[in-house]
Amino acid sequence: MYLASPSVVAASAVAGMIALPQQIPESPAVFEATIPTGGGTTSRGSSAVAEKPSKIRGRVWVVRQDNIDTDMIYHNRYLTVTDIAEMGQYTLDNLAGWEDFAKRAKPGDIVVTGKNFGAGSSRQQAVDCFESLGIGLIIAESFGAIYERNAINKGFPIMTANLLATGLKDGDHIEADLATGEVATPEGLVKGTPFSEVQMNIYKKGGLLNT
Amino acid sequence: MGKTFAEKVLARKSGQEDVIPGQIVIVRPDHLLTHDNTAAIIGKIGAELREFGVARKEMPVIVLDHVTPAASEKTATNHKNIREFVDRYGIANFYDVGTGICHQVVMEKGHAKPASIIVGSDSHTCSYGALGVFSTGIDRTEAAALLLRGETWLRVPETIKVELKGRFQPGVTAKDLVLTIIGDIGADGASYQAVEFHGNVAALSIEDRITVANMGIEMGAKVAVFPVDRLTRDYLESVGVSESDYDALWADPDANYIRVLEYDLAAIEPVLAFPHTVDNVKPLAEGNGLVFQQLLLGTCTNGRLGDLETAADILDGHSVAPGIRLLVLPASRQIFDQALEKGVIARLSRAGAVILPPGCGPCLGAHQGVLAPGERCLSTANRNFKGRMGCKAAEIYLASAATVAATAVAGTLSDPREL
Repeated sequence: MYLASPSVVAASAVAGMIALPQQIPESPAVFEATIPTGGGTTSRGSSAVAEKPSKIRGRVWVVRQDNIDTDMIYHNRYLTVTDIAEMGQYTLDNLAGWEDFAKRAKPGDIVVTGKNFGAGSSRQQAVDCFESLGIGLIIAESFGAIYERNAINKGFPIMTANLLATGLKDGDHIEADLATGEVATPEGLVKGTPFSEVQMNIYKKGGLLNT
Repeated sequence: MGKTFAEKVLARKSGQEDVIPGQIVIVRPDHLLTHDNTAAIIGKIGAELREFGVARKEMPVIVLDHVTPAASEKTATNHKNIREFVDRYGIANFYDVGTGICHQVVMEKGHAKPASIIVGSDSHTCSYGALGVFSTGIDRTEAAALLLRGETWLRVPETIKVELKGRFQPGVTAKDLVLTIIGDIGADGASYQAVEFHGNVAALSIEDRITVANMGIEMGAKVAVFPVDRLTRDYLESVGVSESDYDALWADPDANYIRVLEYDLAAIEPVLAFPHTVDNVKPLAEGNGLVFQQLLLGTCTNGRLGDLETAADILDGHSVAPGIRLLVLPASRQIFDQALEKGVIARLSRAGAVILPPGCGPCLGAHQGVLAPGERCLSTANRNFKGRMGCKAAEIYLASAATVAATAVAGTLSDPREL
């Protein structure tokens, strides 16, 4: 930080470099950006990703609520976190009754919920936090449009099916077939929406950036 | 069978004769908007960028607006990384701190042309539907892929038709209209669907249409779009886009809609979205007696010159009531300059408003007006989610600029029609 008078500050703003008011050049100074190597802070490996399974089995958490928005899923106070590994601990901590979800959930668990899951912001973290926790699948009656694309493009499996109408409860085990849209539950088979060809293709390759 | 706006645009842009709802098409968007989150997006693809570069340098539009000027070392570093990216890859359309909120900047810099496709890693990218643009929010993964590939996929949406008639009563605004629609159909009422506005759209100014289109996402819409008329063409001309620069599209009269809604603007009343969802909309009277500690006038929904003038007209001769902080953020530098030249900023400031720089400000809870536990904010923004303004134990109510200004004078929730 350098301290100067208002007149020197104003002259320097115009000059593009430190300058006295009587010394402002005709055109401002332009400096080539000093570019460190490496464009970003992180880079994913470009090695081939093992193909993902099209059937997912796991223990369910039944979140019986519609319109869960992206601030409930991943609150804006954590938006500066950039490491996906750190995001999981904050998952659903702004959703009443689910504040301790991250502590209770285990890798491979499946989240089952209602309509318009992921409404609101386009924030990627609202998908990444589930990936960070190792959640295997989210099944909702419907998803917020951007959230749905977000998950599809990330290669994170989400599926549309109405499971809240069944007697499904926390701790039950289900198996979802992403290709057929069928979900085997203790209450019987429920027909959901199968992955589209594009969605399956992106998912199998581990995300749009791997296609 | 006729075609909807979305069907026509996506057919043209994917090079097909005809597309139908549900179909997935590959398109090359005219622009990709990213903001402060550009840092995270390029962070995903550092190695690929070094190897392949940016696919189409004229496509990205980058605007720093979310936390500007930077509020922390982290946000400052993000901004710095973005500037270096812009320099290295020769990104032409870059707008640094202070230019304004990205959505306002995209339009006033002439990037939003009718029947073009603009995608953006911000959910309120749907705003440009006001100018007949197919514009929609996407995610960061997709934005990263677009930088590298220059193309993406879109699902052709079904369409809801909204038929407008009549004119607003004095004191009632486009914000009340769009909140009313969201309250009626719900936060998922138009999920992954297009919403077309028909009928007496001439009753809505371009600013009004931007307010309505901006909140399309709050009903789940993929796009919320208006036809191009004389008002649109005049606006575009004013931002340097002439009629020969675009080839507008609009729905056929016999297009197929999954739902038709009708609204008489004369019957719309001032409304309020109560916490904590945007579709929790009730008549203003149900909030009688509500006291607010903070009022927010601005954001990409209601930070334009007309909003500032409406508020100044109401505040003239009054002072902001004791115990209330009225924060004002013009949506862009251009609007700020116009408001300065017209004396609007002076009128607002004299009444006791705090004038903040053009940008997103406190809307997303990062800085410049974070709420304390137990506080209540009345805002012209588009979201009132729990914790949206930084504090989970605070409440946010949404309303029009007129309602916010009337409340600033009265000290409790106030109906602008009664002034």
